[in-house]
Amino acid sequence: MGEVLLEDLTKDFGEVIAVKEVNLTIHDGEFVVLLGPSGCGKTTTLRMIAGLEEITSGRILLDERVLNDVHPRDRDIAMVFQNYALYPHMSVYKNMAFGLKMRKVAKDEIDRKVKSAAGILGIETLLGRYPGKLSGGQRQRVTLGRAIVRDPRVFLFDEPLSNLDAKLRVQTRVELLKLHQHLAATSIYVTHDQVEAMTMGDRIVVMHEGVIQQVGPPMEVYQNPANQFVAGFIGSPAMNFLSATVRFEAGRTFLEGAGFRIPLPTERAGGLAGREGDEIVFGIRPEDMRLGAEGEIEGAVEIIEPVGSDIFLDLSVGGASLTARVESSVRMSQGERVRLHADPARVHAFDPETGVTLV
Amino acid sequence: MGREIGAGRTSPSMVRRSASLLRRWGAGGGKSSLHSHLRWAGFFFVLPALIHLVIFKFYPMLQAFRLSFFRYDLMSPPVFTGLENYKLLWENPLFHQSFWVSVKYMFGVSIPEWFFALGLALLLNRRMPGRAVIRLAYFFPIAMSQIVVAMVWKFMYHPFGLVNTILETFGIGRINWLSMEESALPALIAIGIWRGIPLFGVIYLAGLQAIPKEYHEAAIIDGAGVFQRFFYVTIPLLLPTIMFVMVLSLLSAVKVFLNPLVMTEGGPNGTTRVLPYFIYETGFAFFRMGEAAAASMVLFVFLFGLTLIQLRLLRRGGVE
Repeated sequence: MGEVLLEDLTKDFGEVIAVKEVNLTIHDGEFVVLLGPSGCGKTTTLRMIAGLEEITSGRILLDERVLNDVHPRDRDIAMVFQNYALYPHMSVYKNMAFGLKMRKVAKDEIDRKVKSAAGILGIETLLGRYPGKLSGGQRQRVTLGRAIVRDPRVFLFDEPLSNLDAKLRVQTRVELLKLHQHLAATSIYVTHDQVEAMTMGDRIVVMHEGVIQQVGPPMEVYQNPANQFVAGFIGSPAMNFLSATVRFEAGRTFLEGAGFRIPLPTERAGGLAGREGDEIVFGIRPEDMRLGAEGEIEGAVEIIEPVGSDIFLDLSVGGASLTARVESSVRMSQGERVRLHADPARVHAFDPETGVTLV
Repeated sequence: MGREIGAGRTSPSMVRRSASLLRRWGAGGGKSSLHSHLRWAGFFFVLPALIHLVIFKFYPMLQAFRLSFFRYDLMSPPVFTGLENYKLLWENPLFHQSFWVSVKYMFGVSIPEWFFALGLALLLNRRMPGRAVIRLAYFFPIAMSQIVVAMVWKFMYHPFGLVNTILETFGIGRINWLSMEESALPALIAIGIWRGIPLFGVIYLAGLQAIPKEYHEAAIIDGAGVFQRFFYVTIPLLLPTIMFVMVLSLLSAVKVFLNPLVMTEGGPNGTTRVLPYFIYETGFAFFRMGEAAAASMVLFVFLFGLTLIQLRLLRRGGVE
């Protein structure tokens, strides 16, 4: 078992509130990613679960046992650090064995566990080496090995891939997921990289300024963001935001602004009821538009960015900037005026004051 | 995005500029012209320090080495005597006494310094109110002039000085610290320790603060207690600093001169006549410059040996 429950978890550093009333249930065996920009409180939350940071208020429970006053070593939790934190003066074997040695596990047992973990990670040949002689990827595996040997109920990962180069990061990401499937242990993973979050998490927890913005499976968070922050944070290139006014005409709802007039399907316009004439924020992802002579959005091409599989067009729409993703076969020239059709099912609208999703 | 475009435009031109600069240098003087330019520039930066070293350190050292083979009393011209000065030293019981006084002083000061300085650093490394003020207070003895320290302590060790006054309140009789054979050297050792602890404490503190906190956190999660973290994490990672402090404290202790000069003049009965004081006395009180030079050569070889050991240990203390 390994169900983690966070109840009204709060942490302040004097005046600064790092984590504010976080409530979250992480189910046994689940891979949950805490995602957010720097300073959003994700690492502080993780460190509180690990016991490295004192809790200001609230509770942390692991399988119904309150952990607030439990020493980190007694929490049955292992942590993988961003900078590996491998003891440089110990060999790989000793690094992996250290946690067991501190827990006074018998030598034979330590040996068996270390070798078994090394086998899982494919680092048997590295056991005699020192961390200084390992590559980034190898160090990462040893760090995982150190966590695995303890056979904990919960794994905590603090941006473990951020020190790896792009290629190795993708590779290690896949290996981590395989490892998770193999171990089936509860994993809480902190990252600011939305691609990591999208590809790895069973569920994503988006945080901002110490507050949870949205919790859900990656595609749900992507397609139905709870607010403008989540919408803007997840997705690359980011969702386009343009100022618009709500118009009702002949029983239909339109989002109208400089250079565009988007009709909304009746079934999606419920959130805008009674907002005739209100200013809102219209949001659309770059891939949710397509070129077409009848398009509702009109703009001038400013920059053309071919990325191989697609082309990103940076347009000026009524003076505002908008990015659209089009097929790589499309031929465009700078300054050309184009029209884009927005997929009505993918149009978003947000309250400009609160950022809450209206559509 | 505008910034990205801007960066894209300037970056290639910067590369071009650098490349043309390299080409020009290359054209100027063959393949390794740039490297030799840089080498010469580096040499000229080092030159002032090198001139200082040669004139004020190496030249006197060579002169002392040369002088150690001559008999010279500052009045008549030096006379070459070969190894006679070294033979005289070997037969001089005062030299042997001085050598052992120096060894006692060196270890008497250094060993407590290693431990007390580490203790101080561990204490100051903790988060506590007024830490900056406490650090400053402990650093104060280093900022004081050595001669002032010697004078102040001489008064404090006086039979009616502060040390005896304090001891008297505990019912211990007044001791003439600097005039008794048993107490003079320990009294000087105590000053050495008092003055050395803050300096080495600061070095230890820098070493402690250079240990990333992740190691301790990983050890906490691994289940290590305070003492286990100290012995398995702090000490091994502090080893290079520990080695450095050990040898630096030994070297600085063996060179002590001012305190015996000001406070005891090597007495009573030679019990505080450390080697540097012996050299000074032989040369400038007895005008046996050749013998003094020979003694300084012996001290040099001793210090050189210590330094070699330091380098060996430092290399072994290096983690990777």
